[in-house]
Amino acid sequence: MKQLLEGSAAIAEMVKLCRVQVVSAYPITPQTHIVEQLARTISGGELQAEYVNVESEFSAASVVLGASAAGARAYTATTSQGLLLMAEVLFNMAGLRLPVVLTCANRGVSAPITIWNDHQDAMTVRDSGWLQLFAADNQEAVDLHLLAFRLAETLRLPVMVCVDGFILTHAWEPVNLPSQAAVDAFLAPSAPIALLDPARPATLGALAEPDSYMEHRNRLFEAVEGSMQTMERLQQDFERQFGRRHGPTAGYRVDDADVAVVAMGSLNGTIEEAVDSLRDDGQRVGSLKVVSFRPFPAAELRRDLGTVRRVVVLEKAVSMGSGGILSAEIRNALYELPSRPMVKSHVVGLGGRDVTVRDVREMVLSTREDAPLFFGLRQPTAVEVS
Amino acid sequence: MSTAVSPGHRACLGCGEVLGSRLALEAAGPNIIVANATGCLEVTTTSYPYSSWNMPWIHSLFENAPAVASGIEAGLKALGKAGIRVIAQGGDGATADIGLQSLSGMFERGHDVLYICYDNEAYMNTGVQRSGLTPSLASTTTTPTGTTSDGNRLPKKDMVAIALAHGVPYVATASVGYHKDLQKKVQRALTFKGPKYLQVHVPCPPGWGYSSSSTIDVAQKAVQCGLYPLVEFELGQMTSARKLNKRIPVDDYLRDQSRFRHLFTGAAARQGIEVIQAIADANVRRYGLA
Amino acid sequence: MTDSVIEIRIHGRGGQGNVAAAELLALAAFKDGYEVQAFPAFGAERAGSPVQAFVRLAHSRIRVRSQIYQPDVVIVQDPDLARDPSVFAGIKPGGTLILNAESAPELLPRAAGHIFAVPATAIALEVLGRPMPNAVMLGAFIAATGLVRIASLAAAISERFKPEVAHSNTLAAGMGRDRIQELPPGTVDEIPHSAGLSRAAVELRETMEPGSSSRYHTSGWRTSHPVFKYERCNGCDLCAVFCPEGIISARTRTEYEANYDFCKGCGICAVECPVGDIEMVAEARP
Repeated sequence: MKQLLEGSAAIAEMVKLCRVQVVSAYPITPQTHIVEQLARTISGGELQAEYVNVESEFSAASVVLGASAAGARAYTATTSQGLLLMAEVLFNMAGLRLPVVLTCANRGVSAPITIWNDHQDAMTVRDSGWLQLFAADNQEAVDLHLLAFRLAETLRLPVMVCVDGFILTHAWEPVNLPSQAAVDAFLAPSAPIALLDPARPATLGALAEPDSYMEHRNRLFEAVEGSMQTMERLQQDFERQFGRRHGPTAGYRVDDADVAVVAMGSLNGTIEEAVDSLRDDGQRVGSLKVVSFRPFPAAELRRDLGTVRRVVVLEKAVSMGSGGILSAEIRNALYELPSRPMVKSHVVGLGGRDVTVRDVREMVLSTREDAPLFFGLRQPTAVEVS
Repeated sequence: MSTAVSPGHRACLGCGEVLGSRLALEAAGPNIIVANATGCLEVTTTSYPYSSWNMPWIHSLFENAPAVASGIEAGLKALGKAGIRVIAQGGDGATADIGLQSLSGMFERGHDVLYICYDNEAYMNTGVQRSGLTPSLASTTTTPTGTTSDGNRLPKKDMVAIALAHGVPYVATASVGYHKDLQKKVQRALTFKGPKYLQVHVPCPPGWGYSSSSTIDVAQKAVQCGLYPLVEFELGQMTSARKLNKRIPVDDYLRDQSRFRHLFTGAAARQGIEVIQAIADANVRRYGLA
Repeated sequence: MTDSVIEIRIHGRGGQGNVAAAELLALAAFKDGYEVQAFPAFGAERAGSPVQAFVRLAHSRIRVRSQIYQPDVVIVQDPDLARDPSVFAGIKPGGTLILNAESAPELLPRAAGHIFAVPATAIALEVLGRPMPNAVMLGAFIAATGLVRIASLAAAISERFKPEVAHSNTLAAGMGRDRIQELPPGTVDEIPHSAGLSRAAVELRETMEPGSSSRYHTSGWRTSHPVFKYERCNGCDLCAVFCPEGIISARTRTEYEANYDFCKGCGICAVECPVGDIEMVAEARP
């Protein structure tokens, strides 16, 4: 049934339908609406779960780590500085293979401090061993959370659902929320196995010396890289049951395109609008949404972008001293193709800078290969450095 | 063999910490889950693929054992699993320094967790650097003695007071030198619901610089000179304090340890010892140990 | 690897000054004009556990930083370790072994060109008052190889230690040099290459089996062990209570025994026995 909901509320409702048992979070804008609603849901008795109010994101992550190890379905949400404060725990959770789900209400990072959206937070922890899924709209955000719990528990890997802060979390959109029965049919209501159980004592969290550390890390690498197959199977399950599909990539008018615009998250709607307008002008332009950043859909990108002449990547994060992160990984994936498209990166939308249809058109139509990396910078007037 | 900690661990000869943990967890009995902070106790007992622990046991990070334990407790509650006791343990650095915020959160939220700090008074796992629980004037690798230094110039952090200020219902100190008292306190602690804090003095032969065979002797002298009072607080009230029936001057405790050797040489030798004696005297007055 | 680099591998136990030995040897050689490199292999193990340290000497820049698998010289600081021939793994044909030993261990490699023994622990006890064999072994190294001058070693020792410690260590080094003895050639052809990492499968799991460390024996760490005399035992149980390994148990009420697979020889049981019924006895030397 379609309902008009704020993105955060829709996400919180789906997390509730997933029957989480332990929620722990620390308030940070723009994640707050999600966890506030979950707290209300638990206080009101609609969800039987423990809500643990912690003194930092570091402890929020650690609490869900412990809860997950004890066998509970555990969830947290954060963004920006909070995600960075969690970084050490995120790597640890992945190494311990704990199926935690985290919503990242994507936001830029300090300094200067910003509370507004970009993807720098999530991209900075891309090497942690978490699966990372980016939602383009609130329906996708909701669906990806359900998929995330099933993926996490099937693969025994943590999953981060990235939802653009404010742009999605605070946007009201009609969303189709499944019934509890439908959710239960897709995701077993019971929690995963308890690794910490006095009935079957086990030790978690070894010290690996040089004779086994690499093998352990390789095992994690293979689990994350190989998760694409499981993702495909679960996407098919999801599509069968709900009639919707979310990646790992999704093309829009890209099959016969000369130029493909690639992006993650909420930019994709605006991009599709620009694609239509460019098509109206006779330009053979399409777009490709990357939903799964980890695992990275290299084979899908080769398939989807193998015939285009030019790829324009719009990305909301940058590696200082290097360049765009998504574009670098796309170039890496396309390098193996016998004939490779040009890949042009535009860093856009940092710290909440709005991106319009006109901006996207401009970036697509510009064929200047030496265009600056950061798109649409305002011209500084007098810059004084004291 | 122990029901708690199996041999084959790689702790140093005469390690007070692994002994303290074995005694404490044997007393805690079955049906426990342990969350362990990073440190000697963790590193020496879990070298892959061999674990010394006989209960469900997890190591996550240095500074988050209290939060991990909080999560385990919350998870057990959510799963409706009753009767399993959660214990978090870590060294003095994990407890009083890097993990203090996490511990404060665990105290404040009232989780039903027993936190045990094994206090060997420095960062031993990294090579004897000063921690917040390093005692005054001890020489460590980051408070070395020299022409401008008599060792650690900062006082030992009062974790008992910090725990009490949080309203923790059971707070106690113990020593590996008094095993019956230690084990009784673990069992007493577990009769309380909510957070419990137990700080156990565990001498470290290489870190303190004494012979590995003297661990128990050194631990007992720390208590008997008044530097490590064995106290117990229930619901904020002091319910026991071990009397010093064989009170000794601090010299007798300090003399055998190379971390205090500088206090016995040179022109101003006695001054440092007098400072430390005054700390012991204050403890005796404060807790009525005489 | 150019042939001109001399590679030295030092085996010992944590607490025997292995890293210091490597550093002192490198410093002495540096004073003699060599390019040098010294580094330890760190494990998670503690005092008493087997450790290695490595030294390279050359007359040109040393670039390689890997551990040493085909040493020209092997120094074994601990007599017990020399009983396990894997410490000799990879020794170059014609290479030199220098052992802390009163007598020849049984299994020595045929590949070694020269095998020397020096009673380093006994000398150290005599000169330093504690069983710290490293300076003695370095003196023996100089006698065995002639690669470094004794004066340079003495200068290195003076630079690293306080005067009184330096003096006794220099004395110990000199005695090591003087009391070295060449042993007959070895007889063992094949030595397992345990110094390197085998490519054999590692079982990988996220969890570990409870109590599985009891498959890892720590008996090799000790230099002495407790002997229970069964003369005055009153069954107080303190030896069992205070054993850090938790491996002392009562066979009868007044007869305790230790599991010597794990005893590290800390000596707490002997000190804590209120009736003096436990005695620490030095391990038999090979």
